[in-house]
Amino acid sequence: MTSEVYYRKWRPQTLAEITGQEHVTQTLLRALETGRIAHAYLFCGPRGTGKTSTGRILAKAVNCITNGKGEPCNSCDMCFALTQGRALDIIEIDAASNRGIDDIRELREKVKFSPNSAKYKVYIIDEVHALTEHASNALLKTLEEPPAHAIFILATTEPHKLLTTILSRCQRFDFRRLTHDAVMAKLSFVCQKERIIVPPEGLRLIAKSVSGSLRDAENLLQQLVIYYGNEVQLNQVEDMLGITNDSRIRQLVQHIAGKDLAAGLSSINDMSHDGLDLMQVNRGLVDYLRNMLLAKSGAEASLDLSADDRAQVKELAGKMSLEEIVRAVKLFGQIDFRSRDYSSLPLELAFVECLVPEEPGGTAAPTPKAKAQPARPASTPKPRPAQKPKEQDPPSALHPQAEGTAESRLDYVKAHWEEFVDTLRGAGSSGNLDAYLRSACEPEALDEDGTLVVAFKYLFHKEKVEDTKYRRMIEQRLATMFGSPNKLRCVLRVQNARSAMDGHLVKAALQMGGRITEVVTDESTTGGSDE
Amino acid sequence: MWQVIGQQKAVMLMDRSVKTGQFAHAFLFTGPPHTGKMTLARNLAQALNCGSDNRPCNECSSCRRVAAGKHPDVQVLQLNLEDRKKVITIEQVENMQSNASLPPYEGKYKVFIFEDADKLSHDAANRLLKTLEEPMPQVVIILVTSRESDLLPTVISRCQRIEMPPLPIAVVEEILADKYGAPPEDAALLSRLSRGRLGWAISALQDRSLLETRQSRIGDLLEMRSASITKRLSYASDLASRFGKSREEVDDIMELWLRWWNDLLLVSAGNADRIVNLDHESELAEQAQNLTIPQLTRALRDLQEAGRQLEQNVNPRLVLEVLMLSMP
Amino acid sequence: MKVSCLQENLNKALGIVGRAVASRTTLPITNNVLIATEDSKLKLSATNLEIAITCWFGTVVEEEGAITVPARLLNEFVSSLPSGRIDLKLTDHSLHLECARVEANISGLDAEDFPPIPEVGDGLTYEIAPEDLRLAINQVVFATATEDTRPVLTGVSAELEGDTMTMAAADGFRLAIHKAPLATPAKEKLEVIIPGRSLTELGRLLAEQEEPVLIAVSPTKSQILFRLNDVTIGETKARVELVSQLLQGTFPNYRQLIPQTYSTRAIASTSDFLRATRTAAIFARDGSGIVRLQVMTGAQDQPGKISISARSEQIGDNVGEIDAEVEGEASKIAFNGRYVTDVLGVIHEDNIALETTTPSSPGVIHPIGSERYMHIIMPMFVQW
Repeated sequence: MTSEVYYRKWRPQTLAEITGQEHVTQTLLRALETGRIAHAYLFCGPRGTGKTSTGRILAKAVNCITNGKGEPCNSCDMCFALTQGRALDIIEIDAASNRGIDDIRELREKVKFSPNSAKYKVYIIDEVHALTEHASNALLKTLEEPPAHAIFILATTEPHKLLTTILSRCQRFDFRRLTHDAVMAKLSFVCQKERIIVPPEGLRLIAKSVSGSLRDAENLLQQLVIYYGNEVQLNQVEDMLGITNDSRIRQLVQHIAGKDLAAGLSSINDMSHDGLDLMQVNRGLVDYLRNMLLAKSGAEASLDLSADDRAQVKELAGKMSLEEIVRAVKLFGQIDFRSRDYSSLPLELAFVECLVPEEPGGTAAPTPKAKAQPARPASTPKPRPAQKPKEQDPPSALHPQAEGTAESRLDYVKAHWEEFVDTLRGAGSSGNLDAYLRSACEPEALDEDGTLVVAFKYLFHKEKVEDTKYRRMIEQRLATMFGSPNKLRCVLRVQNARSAMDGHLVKAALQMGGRITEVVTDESTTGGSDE
Repeated sequence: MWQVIGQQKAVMLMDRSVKTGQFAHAFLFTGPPHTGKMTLARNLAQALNCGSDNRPCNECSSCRRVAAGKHPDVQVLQLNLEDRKKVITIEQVENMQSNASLPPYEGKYKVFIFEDADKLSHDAANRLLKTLEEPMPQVVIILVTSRESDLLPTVISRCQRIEMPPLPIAVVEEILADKYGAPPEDAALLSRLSRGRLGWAISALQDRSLLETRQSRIGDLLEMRSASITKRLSYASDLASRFGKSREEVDDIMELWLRWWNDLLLVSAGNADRIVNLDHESELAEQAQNLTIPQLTRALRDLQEAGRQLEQNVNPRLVLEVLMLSMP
Repeated sequence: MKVSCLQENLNKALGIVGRAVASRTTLPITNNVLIATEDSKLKLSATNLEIAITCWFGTVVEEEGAITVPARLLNEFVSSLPSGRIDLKLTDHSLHLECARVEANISGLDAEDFPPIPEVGDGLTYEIAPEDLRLAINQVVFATATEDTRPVLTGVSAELEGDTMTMAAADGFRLAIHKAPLATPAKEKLEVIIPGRSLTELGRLLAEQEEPVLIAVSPTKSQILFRLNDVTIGETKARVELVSQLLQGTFPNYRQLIPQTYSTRAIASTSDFLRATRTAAIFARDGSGIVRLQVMTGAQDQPGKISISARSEQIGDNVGEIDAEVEGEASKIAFNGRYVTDVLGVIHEDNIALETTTPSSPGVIHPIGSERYMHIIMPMFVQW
């Protein structure tokens, strides 16, 4: 028999047991106590923050025979049946599996039946964002006129994918990523119940590595216990998490500060050859550099470090200028480990670029200390098709929440454009709406009335996005994410497209002995370059 | 006997799980290709259903049938090649779910292995969430992926995540020499080229054509370095048309270019002993002399960017032409 | 292997086990039927890993052996043959068949690779008369849920205790309970959930048998076996075993759902009630199938009545009335018409009783003259 995994075994059974969502549980509890129960709730929030658990508790609380108000008693027949998942009137629907219009129509029919034995028929609809558009509309109808005996609890990790009309029908609760302390509190609880001993510092490391998801944390804890038994040491936690020994990170920072190219590259290669997790190395490195930044900018009081460590951070920070540290944080902080190919190249590149600034003409070269370079036509525009707006981004942590002028709002939109495009993943008829936006256009201007002007390079993409259906979808998302802008206008930037598309061909022609005699902006330029 | 070589952490974890009976109902085996993920998944399926004391024994009828794909309680879900579908479909997941609602047919556990779980369609993955979270007792689900970033975070979070990273180069080298009798130069070169993916190194050792292909690709690369613009452009268009047929081939070529330029960077920055392409040391040294470090980092960035763009379906010909022309 | 048997026997036997051949499968060999000799009988087995059916019948066995061949092909071939003697012979990896002047070779797969038919072993055994089992299945299976958002509801809960077997099915909107007598008292109490589909297949096999059906459950409660010793195939009797996987989980505590009292009880003719409901259902099609029942008490020598009506904004409306013997107060309640016709269609007694309390509490239907069956339907929420 599989022993039950922790996140199921220790699933909370009362609102009070829900960790780190007091703003939700307090409100729900008050509503339960005063009997003000809504017919539709929407629980939004990242994975593992307690949405489904809260839904189940709420279903129990409204039907509890003993209490009837406030928390469920967890001992009456009804609570018991619900905990065991055998209550007929609490229906958990996985919207991802029942996403079509027919599924929701069927639900609409079934809602009309009165409950078997409970006071309320409670529908918990998980992953509600997965419903098709038609199904969502059908659900909306039910939410508009629910029978008195029905309560709907919708849960989703992606509320931006819901129809605004559905949002407006529900009492919405936003579940937050759990704080480290909240995760630790729950982990300590599980440890106590399971008779597991893990040093608090170890629990903190787990909490730090799970970005606020309790389920992830409980999984890690269980993995530790399977691996090391019921008594786990701090270094074992570090091992399991692949957390790198501080000394190797410090060594690398020393090479950055000392501008020792060869030694730095070889220490990165050593770490890679030794099988260290470079993503973790980088995480540690960025943390370390941030600490240096704090020390340098006089905020050392906020460093959560031992005296020794603090002295070392200060010493290293003394060897670099503030500008250099910022640059290093930026270069390493930008590394995208999503492709996860375990290559040491991203680290190497960031490291080399830290020490040897890029040549002029490049995209991001703040301090050109020109070295000997082979001649290159200075005027050649660097051909980069589909340049991603991300490259102009300052590190997101330093980014202010934009409000006020259209200009600053535009900057904000630009800075978050990629995030925004990500939310459209899977949208559109063949699920590739995001691709049209990602590679083909960038935000260009923002009108005072909240219209975002987006410049396209290709007519094809522009037309696709201009399709009313898609435009509406995008506008809706814009409104959800930014508030304003919430309208979209598409323009075509032909010249940009030309230079991007043909730049390399022009360059080729030049190198082959061609000469620019005239700049023509109409279609015929294309013909000029393929001699 | 667990048949995965290296990967001690993952193997230990599975072994302890089976022995203590404390294991998750859903696993995610993640890591680059050829690190033993499927082997470990099959081994786990065997161990869960094996009757001997030393599980998996690899010998009993149950273990043998799992290995041969003939065990009624162990199912591998993969792309349906007959349908030429590019994803694991909702139907496949639905069938799996109805199968999972019944107890094991003859063994102790029903085991479902999703080979290339990243190929689950968005809807299929969503469909799987509930089963991943609360499957019936006696059901174990193993997701296997070399592209974890393509999986939904909600899927990953429901699994016990087991990372199977590349092995340290020295370990691969040792295994090649000791267990597979590779001559020292071969062991050194292949272990580096494998980037720690033991499975690849072993197949390259046994199938020389992999190395021959590499040689001819390096030949192309060297030729392109000094080729005229016209030649470069025609090579780019050749690559682009191959991309249409086999993405993997072009990905491999791009990878090889990356490794080459990375080697050049290492040589230029005083780390000549770290290079991968050991058999081309002199060419690398020679080329490195004429290149500045900013040129090298630029070239590497361009290669990375080109790879990203190809992944995002930017017109391959455009991307490759730009790349070929910007290479110093 | 070398055996000979009659075409009509083989054909019938293939038809029986054919019900368990997999249609869509991940294990290709389950598209095959296993043919083997056993105790001078021919044994045919098929399994879709949920249901396995095995059939043994008498043949002349000259040489032992076993093979698996594609079930559909073999079935089609055998049914196309004239009646009379068929010779079967195993050659390498194929099955050679000869009948009259027809010969065929069907290539097969190794019998070793065929999934073993689960052994139920010496677990608990029970006995029940075929006719009782068939009635129970018939009156209960249709109330199982068809979608598997909650797999246990696609099954039938069976409790065997003392001298009674209680079968119950519920889909969240109705509940059917049937109590059947066991042929021999149970030694130990048994509670299992049997997939509805398996019982439907079992129901097909239960016909004119006389010997009790043996029921056995594996010690792990993963499988249940039904053994029928005297199934007629052609001129002879065959032994047929159906083994089904059992659903895991806990069945809802349905006893809680049975109303303890009623305020209105109406006794009416089963067939009249059925006919009137069918008529109303025509008008209920586009209105969620809602059929409204109004029970009216009689006065002096006037009998009581049940009016059965349905209306649709587009089509029109319909009212029908049937006589009823009414006890208690007048009442009204709305049901999904199909649920009412479903239950009335499986009751063989002449009269039924309908018991209700309020328009929003469950209604109960049971036959008059039999204590075995009870059916509960959840009412629908309507504006009267």
